[in-house]
Amino acid sequence: MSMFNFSCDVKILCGDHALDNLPYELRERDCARPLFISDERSYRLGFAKEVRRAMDNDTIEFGATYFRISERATPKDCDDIVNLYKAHGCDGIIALGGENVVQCAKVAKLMILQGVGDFVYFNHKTDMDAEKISYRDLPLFILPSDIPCGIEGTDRAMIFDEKNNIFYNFESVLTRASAVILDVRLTDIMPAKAMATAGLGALAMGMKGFVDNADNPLALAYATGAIHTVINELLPAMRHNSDADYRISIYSSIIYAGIAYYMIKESLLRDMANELSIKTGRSALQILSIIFPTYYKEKMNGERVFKSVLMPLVGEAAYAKSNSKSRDVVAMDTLKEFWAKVVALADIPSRLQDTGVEQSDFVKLADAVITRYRGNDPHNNFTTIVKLLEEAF
Amino acid sequence: MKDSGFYYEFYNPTEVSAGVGCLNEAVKKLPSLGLHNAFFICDDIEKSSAVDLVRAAINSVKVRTGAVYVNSEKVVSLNSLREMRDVYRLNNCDCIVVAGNYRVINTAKTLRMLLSAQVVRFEDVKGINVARKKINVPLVVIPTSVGISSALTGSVSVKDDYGAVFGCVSSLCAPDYCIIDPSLTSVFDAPTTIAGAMESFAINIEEFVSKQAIIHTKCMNLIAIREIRDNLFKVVNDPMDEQAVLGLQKAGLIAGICYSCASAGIAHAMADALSNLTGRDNYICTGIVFEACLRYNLDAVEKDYAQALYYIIGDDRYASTPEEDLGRTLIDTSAKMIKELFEENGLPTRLSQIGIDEESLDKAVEETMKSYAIVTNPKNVTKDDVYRILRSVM
Amino acid sequence: MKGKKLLKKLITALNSHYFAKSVACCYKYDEDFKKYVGMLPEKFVYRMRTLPDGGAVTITKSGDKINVSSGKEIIVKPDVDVCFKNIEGAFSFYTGEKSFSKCLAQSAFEIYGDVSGMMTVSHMFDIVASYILSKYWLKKHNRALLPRTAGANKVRFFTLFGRF
Repeated sequence: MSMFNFSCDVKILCGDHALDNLPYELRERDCARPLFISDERSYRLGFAKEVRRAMDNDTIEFGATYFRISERATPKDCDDIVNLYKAHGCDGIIALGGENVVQCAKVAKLMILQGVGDFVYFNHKTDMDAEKISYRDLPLFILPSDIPCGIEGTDRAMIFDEKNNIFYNFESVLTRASAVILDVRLTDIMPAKAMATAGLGALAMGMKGFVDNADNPLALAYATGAIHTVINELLPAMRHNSDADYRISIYSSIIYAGIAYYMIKESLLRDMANELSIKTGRSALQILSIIFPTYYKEKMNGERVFKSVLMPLVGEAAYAKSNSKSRDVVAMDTLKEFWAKVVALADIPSRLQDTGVEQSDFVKLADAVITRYRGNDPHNNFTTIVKLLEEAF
Repeated sequence: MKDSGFYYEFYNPTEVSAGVGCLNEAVKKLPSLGLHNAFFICDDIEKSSAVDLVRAAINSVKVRTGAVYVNSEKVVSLNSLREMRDVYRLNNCDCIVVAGNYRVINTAKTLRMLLSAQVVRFEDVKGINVARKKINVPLVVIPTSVGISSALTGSVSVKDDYGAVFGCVSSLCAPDYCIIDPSLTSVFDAPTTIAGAMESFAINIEEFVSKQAIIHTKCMNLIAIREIRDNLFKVVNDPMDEQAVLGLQKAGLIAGICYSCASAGIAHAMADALSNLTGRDNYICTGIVFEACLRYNLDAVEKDYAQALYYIIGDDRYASTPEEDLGRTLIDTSAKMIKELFEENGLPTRLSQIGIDEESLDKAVEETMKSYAIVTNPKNVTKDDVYRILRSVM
Repeated sequence: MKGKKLLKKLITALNSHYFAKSVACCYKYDEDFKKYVGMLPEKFVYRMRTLPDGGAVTITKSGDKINVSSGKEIIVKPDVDVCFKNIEGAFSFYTGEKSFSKCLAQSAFEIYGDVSGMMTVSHMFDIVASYILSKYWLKKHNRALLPRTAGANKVRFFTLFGRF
């Protein structure tokens, strides 16, 4: 019996004046005292002010504010948020910022709903499903002000405890956001480099989501849409980086690609990206933009799905005219060509060696990845990982 | 690039499990949703073995069926809703499980909205985005037919005490969980299945060209169109082909999910109006007017039609069709497909066959203009346009 | 920015007042508009609120006449009551940037009451927009210019200076 599941109970509000709907959405969920959290960057750039303005003249007041989330989300941030939430009797969370804020907000939501007061509770429980199901909901609104990371619309959250060197991977409906609000006013002009990295990361997530969700039409559609958007709009977004429409398109494609990508239960690629991200201090999207072509080439096996991925890459007309036997090869070539064009235009790192990883780290890295990997594909073994790392190096 | 003022809201609150024979596996999730004592609604308890299967499956995971209610009204009446609400409360039910066709699903969705918003009168939740959730009443939907596009939408129709039908839109109408198992569509009724699949096809095309369509809903619609192309004739030739039935149900599911964002278009608006006037099912009315509506919108969305055509005719024919004819070919291919299937199965293809004459035409136009679905049609629809389209299929 | 929001509120209030007048004016001069009004049930009351506690435009059909008023007062319970979710939505509608149907498609408001009656009103508002907005403005915002049975300048003049 083959069965697919799809669940994405997250409202996505995107486009002009999306932020102005925040008070309405809060009222809808009976949220009168939300906790407003953000990081220093978003505060300095004035995005926090934009959110306050959107709340102007409204009956809703922030229960508390917290703008000191670290650049990389830490357990302490989560604890601080939970304590503040409880101390001020808040009834919802508004999270404004990038990956760090999103991760903290999601974990804090889970902690509050599970009645966990201290992050220490999770010590040595590295893969956590919801232990207690809570029927109460806690409205969580995510307002990406930096490049999204892909987990906004998913049931995932990840925190790395640098002090104890533990990576916490949460997968639970309790980490799910109520709504993601993408508004032009909360985004700033992005350098072409950052846009290129994010776009390629989204493309990698989309491609992986496409290939691994062939039986799930809904996840497949999210992945297809993301691939299509990145292929058509990434280069213009880099060239005209003051054009907010392109920027929002790429950002939304990251969110949708993330939904398809994180719907895959176990993924060697994701584990590698997370491990390399911890090692290099770079975002998982950046790592994906470097290792994905190598990974894809290694995994491409001539199956039908590798042929059909050509469709979102080149469009219906070119696809119909292509030779049906060699579509997987053409897709690979198209992908490589596009990748090379973006890398050349933005001058971003394309090899692992540019990120500070050294060959001597490979054994340790591969060991960490294989420990983390829970899938049952026999091809995903220690040797494969080392080989992939070497090729991407 | 997009229009200035582009904004969209996309929301699909329903969790979906789908697969051949997935019922027993999928229901294992029900206790974790907080379901203990279900109010079970079905359409035809006597004839359908599917209903027994569903009841046995939910009972096997220790969810009791505290009360069973049979409803087969085309549009649920307020009287039935009041009765159901009383039965639900009397039996201390904590969730609603519905198994059946789109009509009974519509009934369950409306009941859930009323119970969840805890209102006494339906007037208090009449409108768009009016109902507010007060208590959690989980709704599990298990469709037993192919035409399931309305099962996942947040809109419902209700008949009031004077017989007038009105619509209502709320996220509280959308189910929490939807289980799609084609083995439950055991009583195969060819005309209904074909018309249901054609309705999914029409709605997916309309959503694809809708003014509010976004890239992700468009991709979903294209996948749905491909599913219909791949599976419709398989089902016609072998009604017991469960994988093919699943393909058609997936297409319906997608049409329902995209409806919250992209809505539909003029064909759906007309079908709604005609269905209310004649009492015939929506999907039959859609089949009658669809070709004319496609032609009406052609000049505004020719490129979109060209793109969608690939998913209907496949590689070879697409590559050999001249670029300027692609849009028109979509219309001709769709029209031919509908005509053949409808005629073979004795379904009506003209309005006169469902009882619409010159006299009732005015009323049909008026009702079409009142439909919410024309808002997102790619062309601005006027009364004269509706007259012209309806006259062409009289 | 508080000032900007206040300014938007003022503009919206002013525009909604003249919008109400232009609805009455169109009823007087446009034949298609009259047909749509004919489709509404007798004693039909339509209200459009800027915000839950803000000003409102109320259109009442009685016999072969329609009464239009702007202000907060409610005399009878409206058959259709539309309330914008935020000031931006109301502002873009009253300045003609978005049509009523576009606002509807983008979920810019909550609607209490009979949805079908509201759609008729939506068509009426499209006719009003074709009179009071300039061709340039309609084109700029991708809006259709509907056929008019009366002079646009006449309607504009009476909207500004007429009494209804």
